[in-house]
Amino acid sequence: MTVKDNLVTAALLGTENYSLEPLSNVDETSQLETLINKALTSETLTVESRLLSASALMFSYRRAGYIPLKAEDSSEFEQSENDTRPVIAERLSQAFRQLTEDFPRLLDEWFKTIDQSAKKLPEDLLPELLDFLTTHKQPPIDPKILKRVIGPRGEWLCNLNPEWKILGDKIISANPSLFETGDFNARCKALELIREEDPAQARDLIKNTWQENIPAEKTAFIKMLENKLSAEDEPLLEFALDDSRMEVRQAAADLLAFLPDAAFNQRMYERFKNIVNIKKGILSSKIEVNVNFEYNKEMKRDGISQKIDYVQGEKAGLLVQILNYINPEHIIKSSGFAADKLLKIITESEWKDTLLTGFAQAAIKFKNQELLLSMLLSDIPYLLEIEMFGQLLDANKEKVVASWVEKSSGNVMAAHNGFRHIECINRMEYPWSRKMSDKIMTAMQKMLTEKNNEYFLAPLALTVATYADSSILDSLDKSTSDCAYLSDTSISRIHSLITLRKNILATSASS
Amino acid sequence: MSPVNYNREQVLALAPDESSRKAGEGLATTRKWSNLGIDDRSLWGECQGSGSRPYQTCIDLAEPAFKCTCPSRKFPCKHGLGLLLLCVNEPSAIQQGESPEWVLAWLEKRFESKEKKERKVKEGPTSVDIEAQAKRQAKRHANIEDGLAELDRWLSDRIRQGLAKVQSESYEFWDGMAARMVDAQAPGMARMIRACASIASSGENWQERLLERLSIIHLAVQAYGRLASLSPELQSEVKQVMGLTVNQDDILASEGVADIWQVMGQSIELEDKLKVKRSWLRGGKTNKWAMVLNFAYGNQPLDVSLMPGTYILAEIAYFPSTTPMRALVKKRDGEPLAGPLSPVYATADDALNDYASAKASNPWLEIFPFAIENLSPQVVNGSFCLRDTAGNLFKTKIDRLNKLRLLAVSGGKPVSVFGEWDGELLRPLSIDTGGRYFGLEAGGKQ
Repeated sequence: MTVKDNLVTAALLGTENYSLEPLSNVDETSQLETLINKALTSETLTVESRLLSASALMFSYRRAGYIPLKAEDSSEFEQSENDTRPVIAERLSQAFRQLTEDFPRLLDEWFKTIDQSAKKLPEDLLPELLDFLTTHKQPPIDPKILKRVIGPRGEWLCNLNPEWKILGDKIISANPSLFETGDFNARCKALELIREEDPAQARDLIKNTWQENIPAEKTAFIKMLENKLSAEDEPLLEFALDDSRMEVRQAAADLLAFLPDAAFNQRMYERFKNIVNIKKGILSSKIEVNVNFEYNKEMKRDGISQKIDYVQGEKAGLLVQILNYINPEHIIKSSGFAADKLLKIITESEWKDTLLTGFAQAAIKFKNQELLLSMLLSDIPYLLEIEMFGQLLDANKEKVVASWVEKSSGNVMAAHNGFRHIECINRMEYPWSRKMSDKIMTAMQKMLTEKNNEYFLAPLALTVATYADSSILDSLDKSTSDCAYLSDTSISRIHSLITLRKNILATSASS
Repeated sequence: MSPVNYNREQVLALAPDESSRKAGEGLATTRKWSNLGIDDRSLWGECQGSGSRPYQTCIDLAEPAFKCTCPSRKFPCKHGLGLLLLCVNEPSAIQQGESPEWVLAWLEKRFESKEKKERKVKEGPTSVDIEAQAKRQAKRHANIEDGLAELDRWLSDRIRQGLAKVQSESYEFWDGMAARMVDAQAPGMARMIRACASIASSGENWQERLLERLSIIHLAVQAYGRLASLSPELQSEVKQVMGLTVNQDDILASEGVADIWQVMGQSIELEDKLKVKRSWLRGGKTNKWAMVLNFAYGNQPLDVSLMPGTYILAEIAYFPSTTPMRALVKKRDGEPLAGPLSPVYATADDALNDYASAKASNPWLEIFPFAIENLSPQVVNGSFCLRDTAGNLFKTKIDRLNKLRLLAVSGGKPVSVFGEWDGELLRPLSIDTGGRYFGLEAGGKQ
């Protein structure tokens, strides 16, 4: 037993249970052993004090004489590639924390400014940035820009830290064995990458492991076929329709609906035609709905559920689901009407609520611009208005907003459903055209001078400050600073955002 | 470029609490201020608050120090923070000018009070002071002796009954004796005893670590018992271990060491509600280390006058010690200048040799500054380590984000590292690569 072990054992068991003896063979050339023995044999000290004094000597000696471990060459890190680009302007890197804490929507512009400058981020900022992007999916950053901005050092870090591997396929490669052996998240990621590189291999992997997968896995894997979806996926999706679980069948049906020549679409359109009859007359046109149909096992196989509790009743619920699986473009074309005309006929039908709900859902799902635009430009209120607006192309969004501004004479907020329209504008997360910016700014000036609720006004002003053309920033700053309906905190926040954005833009211009 | 040497994070770090921080940010806009101005020494402005007259706010930029006519009890108040933030965020919004009367009056008052303090230090204590001080010291000494006698008996009981018995004890068990030490006016001992509570539940080899800590406490008790027989430096060291405060005026009155000091790095630790900030300085000519401590209780802000990575021309006064390290900034001239980290040691062996000498003369030495060049990050058996050119490995005490920052800055290549060595683990506080200094977050969780 070493001196240390002897002392520690005595202390652990207690001197009343363990007899602490002086060292038996003291090496007289060792100053430490001599001193420890002196402490252990001291007649003026109690046995406990002897133990503590000897321990103090020994531990101080050990600390002072610390000998570090020796490294083995094999455990060295692989070094990162050099990035010789100059570092971005300091005010751009200083803006980072304010952006992530207060104005994350401005990050997109920040990234683009850095990318355009062809400079690199200060390396010490990378961990916080990668952490932020891992935990916040919004705003979505273009992976190519991200890769350039984080540079080789960022990629090197991502490879070291498993938490950051989700940042993209540029960082981890497709690995079929991971799909077979990994946990749920790893399998999803592997399948996503395999599907990107080799769609047929992804299909084979799903088919070959079908029996071993639980319903949640089957559903998730089927949904991943959305990327690079083609007619070659139809057999597997039809196979999935035979699954006993509704959620699996619905995932397959959702994708089959996007394959125009799939048998599934013929079946679904036949169902629609048997229920809905669009009659085109010379003087007037109308829609007739035949409710004499029953829920059957074919519907069940095609992902239509009987259990959905719609306010309108079972048949209406089934019709909404059928509409949801048919591309509205197909119905519009075969009806011989333009979307706005078809909409007018629908609103005259006694089944208008059901049909509008079904068409609205289908328009969202298939992103049918003609139908979405007609619906949003009409005066019909939709519960799904915000979702519908979200599926519009940017140019169409601007058309709709321009119409709202005109109809409300500028005070969008005060109009019927104004709060939804404001929410839609708040979701226009892209750089607005100059024309759109001017239009909104004119509306803002009206809204800021008329009595309006700060709860809506402040977020709107922040959105305008984030996405509008920079030419209106000074005007917005001035209008908001004088607004009696905004609190000091909101005014300061808007001002801070405008200042921050102007700084980013100034850096962009100077670089 | 900002006319002040602070960035947004440094200003926000001065805020006494989260609400002051937010309110300060809200006031960092020109709309709120009138009569803004700045000169070499100060920054000022008037802010319209809820009162009929605007609040007058000014900042002595040299420290920084704040003055505001608002009724807030918080320090610095939101107006002071807002004004400094405004200057950092929008430097062009504040024009150079001549300071108004009320700013000059405050600065003059500060100058007078500083002069008075310096004069008092020079003149030394009066005879009445000396007599009263001696009485107080005698009383405190008696209190400490009583407390230490009790602690000695308590330590003996622990060793007699065995440490196995204390492993299952709760924090209250240790807190009881720590509280007794506070009553005995030996807060340093209380701190050492409190630390034992976490050691007892620290996993493998806890008994070894606990015995080490108890033996060092025992050594301090013994040393205080024969204080008179020790050298003046060791006496001072033992008194500091007990937690006896040293009169800072006496330290400031002692001879200083003038040098260009680099602020190598900073660490912040929380002891209950007390924040303790250690700023490590290294003299470029004298090659001396200095550690400046700063304390802040609760929401009070910590001093920000020493900025990591900067060089200051200053005179430092040391507390008497066998290993002089703790010091006060006696006098400083000019503005701080940024510069690269200057490594002190080429290899781990050089650093460990200096540590061994210091530890040999001061067994209570808990941390020692290491500034070593060419250290490469490495993972050994799951532990994050730093390796020198000779292949020596230092295990580190570093939180996740700082570890990732160190990796990000180094890219896996050798860098100069400054940190605190506790005899077992190195806590990196700053790094330098290619002449660029990076401070790691001082308060990172370990």
